[in-house]
Amino acid sequence: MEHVKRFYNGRIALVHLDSSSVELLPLSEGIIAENIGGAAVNSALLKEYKDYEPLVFGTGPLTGSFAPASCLMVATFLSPMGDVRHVPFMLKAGPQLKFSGIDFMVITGKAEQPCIIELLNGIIRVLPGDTITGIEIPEAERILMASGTASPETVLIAGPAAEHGSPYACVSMGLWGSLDKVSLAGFMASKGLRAVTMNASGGIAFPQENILVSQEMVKTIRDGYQRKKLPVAIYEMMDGAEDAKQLIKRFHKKSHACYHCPFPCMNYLEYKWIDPKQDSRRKKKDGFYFSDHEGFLAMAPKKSVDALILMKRCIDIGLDPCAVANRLDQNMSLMEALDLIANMAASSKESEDAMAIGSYSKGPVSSEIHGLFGGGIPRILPDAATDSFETWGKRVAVSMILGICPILMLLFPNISVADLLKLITAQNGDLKSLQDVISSRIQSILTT
Amino acid sequence: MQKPAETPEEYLSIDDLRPLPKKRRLPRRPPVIVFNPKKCTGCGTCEMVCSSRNVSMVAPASSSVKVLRSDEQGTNFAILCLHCREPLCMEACPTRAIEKGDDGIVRINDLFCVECGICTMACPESAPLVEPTTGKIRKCDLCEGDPLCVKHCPEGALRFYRGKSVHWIKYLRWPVQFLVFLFLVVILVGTFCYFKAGAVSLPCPTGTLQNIAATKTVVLTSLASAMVLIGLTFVFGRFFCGWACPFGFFLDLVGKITPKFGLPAFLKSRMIKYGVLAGAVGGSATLGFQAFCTICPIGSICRSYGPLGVVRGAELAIFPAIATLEIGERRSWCRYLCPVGAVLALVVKFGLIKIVIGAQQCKKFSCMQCAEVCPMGIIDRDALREGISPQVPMSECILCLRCVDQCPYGAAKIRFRWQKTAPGDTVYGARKEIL
Repeated sequence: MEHVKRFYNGRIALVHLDSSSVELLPLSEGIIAENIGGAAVNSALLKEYKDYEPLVFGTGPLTGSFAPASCLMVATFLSPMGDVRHVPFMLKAGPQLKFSGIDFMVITGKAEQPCIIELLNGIIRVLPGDTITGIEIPEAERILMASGTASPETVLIAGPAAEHGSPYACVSMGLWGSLDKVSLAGFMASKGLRAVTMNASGGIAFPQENILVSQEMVKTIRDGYQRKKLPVAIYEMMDGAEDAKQLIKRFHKKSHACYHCPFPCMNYLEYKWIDPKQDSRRKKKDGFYFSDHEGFLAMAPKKSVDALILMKRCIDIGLDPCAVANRLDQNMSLMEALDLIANMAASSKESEDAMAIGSYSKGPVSSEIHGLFGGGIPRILPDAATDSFETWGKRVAVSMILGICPILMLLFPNISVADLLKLITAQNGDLKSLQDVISSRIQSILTT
Repeated sequence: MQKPAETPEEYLSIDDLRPLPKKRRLPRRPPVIVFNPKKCTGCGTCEMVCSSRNVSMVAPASSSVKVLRSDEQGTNFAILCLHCREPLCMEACPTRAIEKGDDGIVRINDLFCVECGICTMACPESAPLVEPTTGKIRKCDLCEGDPLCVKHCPEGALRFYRGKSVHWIKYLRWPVQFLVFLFLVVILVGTFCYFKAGAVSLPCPTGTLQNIAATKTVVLTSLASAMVLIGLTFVFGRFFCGWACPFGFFLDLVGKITPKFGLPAFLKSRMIKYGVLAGAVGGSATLGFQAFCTICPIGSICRSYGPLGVVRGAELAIFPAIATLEIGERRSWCRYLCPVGAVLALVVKFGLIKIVIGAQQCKKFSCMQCAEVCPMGIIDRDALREGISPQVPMSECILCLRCVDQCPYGAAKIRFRWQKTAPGDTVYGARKEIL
């Protein structure tokens, strides 16, 4: 699998939180040949280091490349229920990891004191995390951005909800929230890991001809949607999204795209509100980006601008909006809803509800498969898929292996996996063997 | 063995080795990339493709363009070289490694660059980027005229623009000014103040106000006639001042040959002309005749030719006095003293059109052409230096359109008041916060 290996740095970082030490290991050809990348390699590494409570962050061969939406980083861990979960991170997380010189990062052990893992200019360090302990995510992000010799491009933060041991906690990518609905944040907090920061200064060589292939694929994607409907395009494909669409149409300010993605599916919503906890009648302007479409869908039926306030509050303290939406009563006032959020964040009781998938929409994808991939990826059926990766589970799994955003793969089923693999190799024989390996890995991931 | 230099004068300086190039004319079509923050989605494709050209790898840290994002404000901003008319980085570079070519592109000569980073500090945009691992300075060179980032930006937020090459408005304005001057001064022979041809009359609005004050009567036909110019000004702005006023034409000619030494501060208030207007009307009411009209330079110049208009008395002193003001600032009379301009300025406050300087195309501190050519001095240089597109106060604008004509990037435009303009200060305000 030489053609796959050239898309990697060839390094795995092994971070021991108990001793705050870092080891760099070579990425073996065998593991790549058998697993290709992403969630599949993560699973293999998880098995290899299973005695050390590992948390694995990994990239795929196309992460950071000229493939559209090549932004993906996958976090794989063993949930307290005993099953493996893969949580996707978009924006620039995947390229930041790969361009730091690391393809996979295995975090083992538990830190005695809260800590931060910093990847800066190719150097990995375990730093004390007490500066961001007990504070909300926006303030934590400001502190992380201001510390060190260079501001991180990407930060993953386990917020105060995770610190308290709330089973509803979720990781936040900066101020964007995330698709974590399986308490990856809680797992990080149990290891004493408060945040991971990344600022990459390196790069990866990709074939120059990929630029032209990429242009064609981008054009195909852009021809596949109407610009005017862009802010709500993703919600048009999701069930029960009328309230979400109305909110976005009313409060939309800007759309944002992940790394090299021609479909900006993330929205910045701006609104004015009066904080009931402050003694003021003056409305203040506020706004936020969010990446959690399922969470927004769950929160949207609540009262109008209150939904936005509550969504932002969930992001600020690192709480799963779906779990909150499940508990919210339609008749609750804003103050009561904010108090509920505070209680849920402070809760440390584990309940059956807590460990169930916090998804709101009861779409056509089974909870088991949905939860396997973090529980946050929109349940959009790829009805028009033209290859053998025609189901939700398979398309998400292949994206998690290759390092492409799963949302793009679901929204544009006309992009075949073969087209993506051509960015790795143009040889037909190699393409076939790649597809076979991927198919077998998908089978093992889906049946885990 | 060569004897070492003993005195500082004997050392060679950088100016001896690589002197700064002489200032030369701006290329006829200065190239620049225009960034539209409204369209940018922060995908970073520009960084990817730029780095692929710089280092043959996808390495955004080695790109010559950087996208900054404010998660709190919901804005994105691309930092890239604006290829300034007078690049500050070029002057600041201690080894003169930065050069501006005849094509208008500012480049870093790697042979001389010592990667000190002073150019980054000198640049108001911090456009030269320091590569974190190697320390190499990366700066946009427009890919020698075919920028990759523009080609690959999926949202069209980056646009490659070659500036205007033809400044045609001045070739229209000067003949119009000359013809109007000829018409009013030579042909009509001093009848500007009260032009009458048969049933058509067009009196000066200031003269009309003085007449009403002096005679204490309102002649409706006279008032209605005065409203013609008022009405035209409401629609077209102070076009009269910029295109038709014969005295303005005279001042433009004088201004071309006189040096500029500045005016004392007490004279530089634009409210003085309203005081002159009030004084003219009040004086007329007191004295019982159109007091200011006797010394009005516009009327004087119109009466200066032909048997009807022999300039005499106080009128004789007007021309040299006001011409002297031109060595202070251009169109000083129009800016600070003209009561006709004062009346028109009041009308334009409710007028229909405006001049806008669009934030996207405007190159601000790197250009400032509009501020240099504006004869009324109403384009805020400090705002441009701060990186903010200035608002043009239309009550002071004489609509000469020199800014529109001169702007190489098409940033200065005429618009109706109700038309939305390009994203303005809020975006650049966010840029300042991010930086």
